[in-house]
Formats: sequence, structure tokens, C-alpha cells
Amino acid sequence: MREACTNLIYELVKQDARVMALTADSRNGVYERIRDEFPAQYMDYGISEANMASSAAGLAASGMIPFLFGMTNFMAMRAFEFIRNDVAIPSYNVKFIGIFSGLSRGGWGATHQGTEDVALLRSLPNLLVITPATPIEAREATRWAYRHEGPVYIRLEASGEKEYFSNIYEFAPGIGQKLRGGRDITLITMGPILSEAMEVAEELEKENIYARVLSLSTVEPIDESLILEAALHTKGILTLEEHTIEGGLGSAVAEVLAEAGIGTRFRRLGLHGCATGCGNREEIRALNGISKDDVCRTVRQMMEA
Amino acid sequence: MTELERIAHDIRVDILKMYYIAGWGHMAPALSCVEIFTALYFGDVLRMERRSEEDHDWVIMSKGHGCATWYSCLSRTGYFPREDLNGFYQAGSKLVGLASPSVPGVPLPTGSLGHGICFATGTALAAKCKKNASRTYVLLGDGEAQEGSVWEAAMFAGAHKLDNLCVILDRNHLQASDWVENITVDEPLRERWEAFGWHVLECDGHDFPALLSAFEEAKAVQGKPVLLVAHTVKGKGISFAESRAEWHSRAPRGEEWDKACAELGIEVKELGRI
Repeated sequence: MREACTNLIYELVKQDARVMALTADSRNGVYERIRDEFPAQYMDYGISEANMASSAAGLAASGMIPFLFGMTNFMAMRAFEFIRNDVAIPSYNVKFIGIFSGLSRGGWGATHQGTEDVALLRSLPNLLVITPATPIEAREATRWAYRHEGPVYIRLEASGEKEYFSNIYEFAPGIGQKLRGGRDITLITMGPILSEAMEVAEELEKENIYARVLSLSTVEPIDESLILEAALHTKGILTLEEHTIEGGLGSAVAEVLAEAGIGTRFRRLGLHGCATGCGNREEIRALNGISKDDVCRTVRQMMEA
Repeated sequence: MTELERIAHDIRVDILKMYYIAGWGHMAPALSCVEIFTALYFGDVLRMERRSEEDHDWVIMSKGHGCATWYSCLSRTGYFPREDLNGFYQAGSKLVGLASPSVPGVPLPTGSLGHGICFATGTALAAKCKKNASRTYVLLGDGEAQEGSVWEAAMFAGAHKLDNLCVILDRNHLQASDWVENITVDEPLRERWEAFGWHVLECDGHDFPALLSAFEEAKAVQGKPVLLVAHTVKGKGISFAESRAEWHSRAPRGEEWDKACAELGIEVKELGRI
């Protein structure tokens, strides 16, 4: 999804002299091409995310359209107050591309995991937070961000995520996607952990449990009708995210259900605070209770209840 | 009294009235930068005729606590009606107590320190990208320079030779709770900023000929951003508020109003309306 997003940024830089590619010592191959071919539209701020976020607001105030590329944990969290005061409150046209979100750099430990960014940033005014689930969704979210006048944060992971969308997919904020039908249980995901939910759904089918799978790329605004329809037509809802459930997808779905006054079987799988443990990504998921097995077991418990 | 001195006096009267209406707030931080802002807005430093153009000059008060001075200047240069100053701190008004982008002419909220100078690196860089003549002026507090982000911005502006950026350091030696030197060591200022690639100038921040000549000199500097260390007095113009830490965040009370009015040559009964 990183390439899908940055390749489009390359095209935008080429077409539109206002578009700038900024980074804080987090380079990637595409940004290096932009640096070489369009040096006037490129800037490496060095390891100074706070200055980069606020400086981008100054660029946007002067009519430029900066796309900031950096690791979620630094860009969204270290620079949080700069995003809040200098970009979100005055609503400047700044685009943040946060990479290595969730546990995609799991083995590096909690300092390099982006696991609270949605909770933090969805609380800000004017800023739209998008968590694409696949490369095509990442590309289309980037296209939408360019066309949209206002601040946008796109939460990406790394490369090689499974594709579930067609090439003609169009992103729209507040519109969730139904990837699989089912009448027993609804799995709601945010981001590329969608693939785990799809695999779980297949496995459960062997046990005659038919799972509906929904992917929500934005939780503010959130697709209330898709959630409520699932609450009415399946026997329970399970949310799954590589993010802290406090303030993340789990909270957002709970808010919709509670405000609608709907009581249904409801469980949330995700992180509680920062992830713990060492290992590869699958192992860290398992250590934090969000592996495929954890999801299957939770669904079975919900079906028995 | 020169024309600029008359304007500075009138701005001080605005400030006193605004804090009378508000009843509290950061009056002393506003008083230290009156001459600096008067020189910028009324001394032919900014090219005001370009303010609706894309290559206009930028003014950013990074130490947003002094915003009464900024609001007064903006109201006197047509950004909004003078009448609106009466709304300072009041319900339904746009004139928030620390600099707010709801006020025309204010591009971002400041007062949370170490932001304005970072934003300014963006406006200065944009002017370089667009090859236009826009200049950016930032007022930075000396206490504010304890924020790490100030030095992120300083390193960036020096490295990229943003010579269209002029930061004025409001060197009044006081921060919210104490003298700067009682809290940390911020000297040697000149050597620190020069080491970050800046051209450093110094002047008396209440002296118009000195300020105007420093701004002229700053415009001529090539290849480096400029730090103008403006030596100032916090609370300048209201004798009992001058250089006193306890005046960081307060307005006069009781008989202090009579004294303040006497010092600015106005009647107490004039205080209630701008």
C-alpha cells in the first residue's frame, strides 16, 4: 500500500507544481525519485516531525499542497500538538501519510508501533483520518485527499497487503465496505487486518458459522447504517483492529450501537494500550490476543452465548 | 513625539482598555512588543499594499500572549473594525485571549509556544519555491526559545538559507514564573543562533530609529535567516508592571487603573470603550 500511495503522489507532483513531497528522514524509493526529478517540490526536514508538521501548514497557507511521509508513531504522535494547533484548528490543506502503522514494524517494539494514532487524530477538528485496508484503497484515498481541500491523515502499513477491492473502487469518507455476506456474526475491521478477518470467515464456514465482514476506513465519520444493519441482521458484532480499542474502531462502533440503543452480542479485539512482547508480526498478534485463533475462539464463544 | 511614537502610545491605550474590558490576561507580554509591531506595521517595513496578493509578507506572533498588540495593529490597518477590539475575551467575539486564527490577519493559533517559528519556515520556504518576494516576520519570546521545536525550526531555516525569514526575539528576560536566567542558561544568544546558520542583529526594542535600521539591515542579508535580538522591557509603559514576574498574567486592579491611566494620559472613564 505504500507504493500504491507514493506512486500516485509522484504523478501528482509531476502534474501539479503546488504538490510537495515532505519527509523527516523517512525516505522511500518513490520519494527519492521525486527528490531527483523535482527537487523544488521535495524537502527532507531531518528528524524533526514537529517542525515539519507546522512548516507544512505554512506551506499550505501559501498555496502549496504538502504530502508528509513518515512513520505514524513519530508523525502522528510526537508531532500531535503541532498537527492540532497549526493544521487541524486552522484547517490547512496538509496531507499526512503515516507508514508502518499498527504492528507492521512489530519487532521494533512499542516506540515504533503506531497503535494510538486513530484515537488521537479522530478527536481533532477538520482533519479526516483514513485507514485504507488494501493497496487500491490506499491509492484511492490518496487521490481523494488531493482533491479534498482540507487536512487529511492516511494511515498506512507497509507493502504486500492483500487486495480485496476492484480497480474501479472509489473512496468516500464515512462509507464502509461489505467484503463478505453472512447472517451469523459480523466481523468489523479497520485497516489491512481485514485479511485476517477474511481468513477467519472462511475457516468458520467449515463449522457452518457464516460471518459477514465489513471494513471501515474512516471512523469519523462512521458508516452508521452499515453497522446498524449488521446489528439487526446478524447475531453479534466483533471488531478487530491493530490499534488500541480505547478510542479506536472498537470504541467507535460501540458508540454507534450505544447511541442507537441497540443491545447485541458485542466484543472488541484489539490492543489495550501499547502492544507488548517480542517476535514477528504474527507472534506479536498472538501475544496481544488478536491472532486468527483468538478471533475464531471469540466468535465461537459469542455463538454459544 | 514622532508619528510612530504617537501610534505606539495609542496602541498602549488600546491594550490598557482591552485588559480593562477583559479584567484579566497577559497585559505585560503585550506591552514589551508595542514598538516592534508598530515599526513592522506602520514603519514601511511590511509591504501592506500586497496583503491581498499571494506574495504578501507574513507576520506571526509566535508568543501569542502578546496578541493585544497584534489585534490593535490589525484593527488599525483595516483587517477588522476598531470597534471589534471591545470584544477582547468576550463571549461571541472572535478576539480570543491568545492569538487565534478566527481573527483576520492571524494565520494560526499561538501561545502554545514554539509553533509560530515552525509555521514561518513553511511560509518562507513557499516563497523560495515560488520565487516571490514575500518575507516572513516572527516575534519570538525569549522564554519561548526553551521549546525544542524552536531549535528544530532554527536548524532548518539556517540549513536551507531562508534569508526571507526575520525572527525578532522579544528579549525582556522574563517568562511566566521567573527571570529566564533563574530558570535556565540561554546565553550566549548570538553564538547559539550564529552556530545554527543565522545572521544576528541586536537593537533597543523600544527605539524606532534602531528598529527601522535593523529591519533595513535584515532585508539586505543574503543566504541566512536573521535573528534580531530586540532588548525590551516586559510591561513597558506601565511603570508598576515593568520587569516584574508577577505581572505576566494579570491586569491592573483597583487604584492601579488610575495610576495606569495617569501614566498614559487618559481618564479612567475612557477605559470602558474603544
